[in-house]
Amino acid sequence: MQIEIILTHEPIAHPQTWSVPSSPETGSLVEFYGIVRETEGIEKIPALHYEAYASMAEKVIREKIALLEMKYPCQAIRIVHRLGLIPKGESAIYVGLQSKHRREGFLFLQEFMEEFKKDVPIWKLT
Amino acid sequence: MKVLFFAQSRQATGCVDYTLKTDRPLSQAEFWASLLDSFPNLTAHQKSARLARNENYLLGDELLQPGDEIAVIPPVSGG
Repeated sequence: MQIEIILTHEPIAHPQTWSVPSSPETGSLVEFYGIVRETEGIEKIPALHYEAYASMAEKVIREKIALLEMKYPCQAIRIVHRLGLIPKGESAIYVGLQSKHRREGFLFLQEFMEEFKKDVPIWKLT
Repeated sequence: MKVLFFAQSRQATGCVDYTLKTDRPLSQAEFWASLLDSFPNLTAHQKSARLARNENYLLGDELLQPGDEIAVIPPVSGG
């Protein structure tokens, strides 16, 4: 499986340009953009600040991918997480999955995000 | 032993890292006792924080070695 993990202080482009060319066998691209909402709890906010323990974050992400890949074989994954100040309405995370069929892509993405939010050492601060 | 702080643990201590002087392995209880002695403001975060040793979450009652890098990980909230 091709893996791209990018932690960046730059805005997340929409659409994303993959550095990995699609396999001729790729029949599905499932994408998720996580966007900073205008409200955090009951509070209206102009932006969120994200910080990471970057080296461990990448390590944990790779561990999660290795486990999920056994359940839902996919061909490529691209993860971009923005750090620093992110204004409301802009993306904090992008995850894209290329797979042969849509089912494994959707399932992988859903479980990956659950695991990501549980264990990847990245924090948002208001 | 190098200790790293992030997010709320960094805000509580006012620093990003700290050297905890020890020449012997520490239990996690000893580690926290020493840390809270130096940073009383961390007390409120002890229950919710996890520890990572050399970028791996601690899973059991492992001892912490003098050369380890220990991160104090508040509840994560990325994505």
